[in-house]
Amino acid sequence: MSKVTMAKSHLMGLVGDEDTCTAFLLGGIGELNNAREPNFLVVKKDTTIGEIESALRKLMGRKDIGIILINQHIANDVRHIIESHTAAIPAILEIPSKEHPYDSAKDSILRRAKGMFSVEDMR
Amino acid sequence: AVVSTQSTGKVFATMDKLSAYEDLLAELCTLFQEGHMLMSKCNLRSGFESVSADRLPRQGVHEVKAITTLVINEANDCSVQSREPEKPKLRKRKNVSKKEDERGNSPQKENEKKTSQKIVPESEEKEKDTEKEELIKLPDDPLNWFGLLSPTALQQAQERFRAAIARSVELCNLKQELSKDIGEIENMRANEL
Repeated sequence: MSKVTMAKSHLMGLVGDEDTCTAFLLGGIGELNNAREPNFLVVKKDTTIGEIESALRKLMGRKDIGIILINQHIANDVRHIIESHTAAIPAILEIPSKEHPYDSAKDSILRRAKGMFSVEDMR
Repeated sequence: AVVSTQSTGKVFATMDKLSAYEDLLAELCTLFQEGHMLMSKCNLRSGFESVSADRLPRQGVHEVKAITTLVINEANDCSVQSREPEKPKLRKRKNVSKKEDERGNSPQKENEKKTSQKIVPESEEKEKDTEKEELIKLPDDPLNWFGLLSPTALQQAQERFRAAIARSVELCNLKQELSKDIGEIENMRANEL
């Protein structure tokens, strides 16, 4: 007898500046009701790093969130939390913002891969 | 360091994935730029900050349900699941005529009825208000948060950002595969040494 598993739907979390949050919420990922906390945090100029850390930890602890999107320039401020996160779900993905283009040098995968492959290794 | 054929094959496969990763990143950045450009265009035409974070839903005030969600399988691969947003219901306008209707009621008589109604004390009114205090349900389609007649530029921006969400999910899946592959290569090299 084959097992039929119903895949449970998950939300996408978001920690971003005003433009990024407007963009992704326009895409339809935002969820807000009294039953649970919002799945996004709008980081403004007066938002402290403590608030960002707290929001990110809450999102990471939620079982209904599959992926957390975070602006790269905001991720730089909470790098220690991101690097200590080893679970597959929720996955954390750094995204560019309107005013801060994506810096490949700070991408975790590209940094690990850099210098790993060289011509000398293939001899 | 001498590399065995097994690890060489793994390295080549990983390099292909890295190339795909960089391409996806570039595509994501392009979609973002185009989407933000269209949003700025919309602001230019419709008014300053007509599309801005001020119009976003607020906790304790609004109720919103996500129309774009994720489905995660046993292998922790994510895929995007979108549902059709419910269309806002149109309110029907009542035909109010100056002449009396069939029941013999006229607007003047209706006004007299309203003024002669019992006045409810403020305390009871407040109790009713708190009972009725519910979250404001925003339109299902986020496009309608910024006005019912959404400009074409905003619709196009939404398409870009929806595509960006799909690319983000693909990027996430690829990132997880790459992280695993790079870890395996590191282990292989460590064992070979």
